Amino acid sequence: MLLAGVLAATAILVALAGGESLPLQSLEWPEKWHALAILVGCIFAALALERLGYRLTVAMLLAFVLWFIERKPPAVVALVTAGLSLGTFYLFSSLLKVPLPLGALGF
Amino acid sequence: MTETFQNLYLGFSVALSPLVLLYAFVGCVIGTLVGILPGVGPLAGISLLLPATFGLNATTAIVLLAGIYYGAMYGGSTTSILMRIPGEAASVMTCIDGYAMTRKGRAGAALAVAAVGSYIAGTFSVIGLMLLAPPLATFALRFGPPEYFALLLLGLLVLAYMSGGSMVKSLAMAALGLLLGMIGIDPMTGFFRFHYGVVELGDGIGVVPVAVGLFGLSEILLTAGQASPPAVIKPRLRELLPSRQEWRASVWPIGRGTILGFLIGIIPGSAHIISSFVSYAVERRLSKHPERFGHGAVEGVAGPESANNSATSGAFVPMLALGVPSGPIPAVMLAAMMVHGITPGPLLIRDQPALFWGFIASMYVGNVVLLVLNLPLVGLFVNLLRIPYPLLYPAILVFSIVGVYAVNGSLVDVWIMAAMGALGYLLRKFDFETAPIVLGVVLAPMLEMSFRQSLALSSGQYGIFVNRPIAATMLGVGLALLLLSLRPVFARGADWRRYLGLQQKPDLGQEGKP
Repeated sequence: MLLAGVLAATAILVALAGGESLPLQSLEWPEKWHALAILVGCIFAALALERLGYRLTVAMLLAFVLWFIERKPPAVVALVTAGLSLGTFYLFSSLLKVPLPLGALGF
Repeated sequence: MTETFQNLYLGFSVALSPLVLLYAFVGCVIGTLVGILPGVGPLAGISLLLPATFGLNATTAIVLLAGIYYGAMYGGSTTSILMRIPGEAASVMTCIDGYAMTRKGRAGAALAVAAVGSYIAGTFSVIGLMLLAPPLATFALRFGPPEYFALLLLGLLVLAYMSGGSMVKSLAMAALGLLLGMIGIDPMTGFFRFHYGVVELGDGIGVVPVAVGLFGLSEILLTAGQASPPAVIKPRLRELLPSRQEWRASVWPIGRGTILGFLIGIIPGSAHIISSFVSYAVERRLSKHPERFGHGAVEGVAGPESANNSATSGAFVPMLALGVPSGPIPAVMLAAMMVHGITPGPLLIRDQPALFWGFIASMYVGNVVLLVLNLPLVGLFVNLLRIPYPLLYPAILVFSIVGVYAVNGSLVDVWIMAAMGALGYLLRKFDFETAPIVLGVVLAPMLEMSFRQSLALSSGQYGIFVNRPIAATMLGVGLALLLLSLRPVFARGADWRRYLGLQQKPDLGQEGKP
């Protein structure tokens, strides 16, 4: 308990004061919004995979990434989304016999 | 000797029969694909296809699974080199210099060196497996838990020693990996540790989600949003052949990697992973220009790639000769053999010569198939790079998710992958190496098991690690590495303190240490 307290205190100290150190300040975060958005997509996938089913989840994830983050033309979005979500499902579920979740809607 | 050749003749007569040949080929193709798909490593691939082999006879089944295993070892290096995504954990080291070579426009050369190195290492290590199996098996028999513990510890220290940055950072990452590996059911008492109410954590944290998160996802996170995404490198076909200088630079690393990988492969542990780490360390230390490592040194591709393929064959020595799996993949293959009514062990070679020698011969065949398959197809794999990154990374993302999910059919693994992706992103921003985390997660259960078995053997006396000569030697080497790496700290001491004085907060100066 004592040890944990000391460790936690040191960690907080390092985290607070360390932020002012030179190497940290020189770091740049140009990609943080992209990274955050993609992580949100991953979290959505983890939440939705067994509720909506594999194909719907992946289609929505891809549409989100391609349309919202990458701003690709709608035709490309539709093509890649449909192709990848159905293609990977076929590959894994039908060819490799990996059970993928179907979800409440049967997709 | 004549007996060996007679046996080998028997083996080839089995392996060259059309049906077995077909399955070896199919295994290699599937293995290569499995290796290329990030997140679907050899372990996942073999596990997924295990039910598909139930209808085959024992020889074709084991040949197919072995083909997947070494096909995946090759395929894994392809994605490592082209996309910095290790298709499987043993390719982690290939990522470093392989990807650096890709960025320098030498992707084709890196792929070719990896293929040829894998072929040479694979072939020679099968010869080794064939000739040296009995005496080496007796050596490995002398390993008790204390020796395993010392070996695993040495593996971690070697890894920390070789990594480019500070050893403290590497050891911190390895410790983090070990802690993550502690999660789950205590192997000795069955106590459920660190689960925080999540039942699925009982099986522990898998290597696949951690590796995919730290290497696949974090790479996507780092690259996708950069103001100007890195120009997709389009290697020309003419560049597929390595230059004469690159060949010359890779000859010795391939040779050393072959021997090193085979020797490490025999020793139980995640041999093919450790062997690639160790080989990279050795090449880096032996190199006249160690500063080139990490910036596209061809030795950094040739050595580890040869070593991990060589270790793949080496790993079969204890499995076939002793019935002891030397890692998770041989363990699955052991299970597959059991399903087919075969118990690997000293009696296997005597009772099932057609299976044993057919398997050995099929490994020679498999290596040729892989070389033939992979060198021309290198061009095809290179085409993956022609897809623009904004279209490529969503696809990688989908494959990562489905690959991680498919191993156990568990959503928790997807969560772990997402968390590890975020962690890997931050750590790499802060210039930490993430490879030791993966190794820590892999080694934690083995390390813990051997440590506690040792203490059980000695009824709690720690002396057991020092009293046994093999264990003591390995621990001594580990300590020596630790001390060697400390030397620059002492040598730089004066300089370092002056640096501290310049800091605004001297007591927190280690934050500013370069």
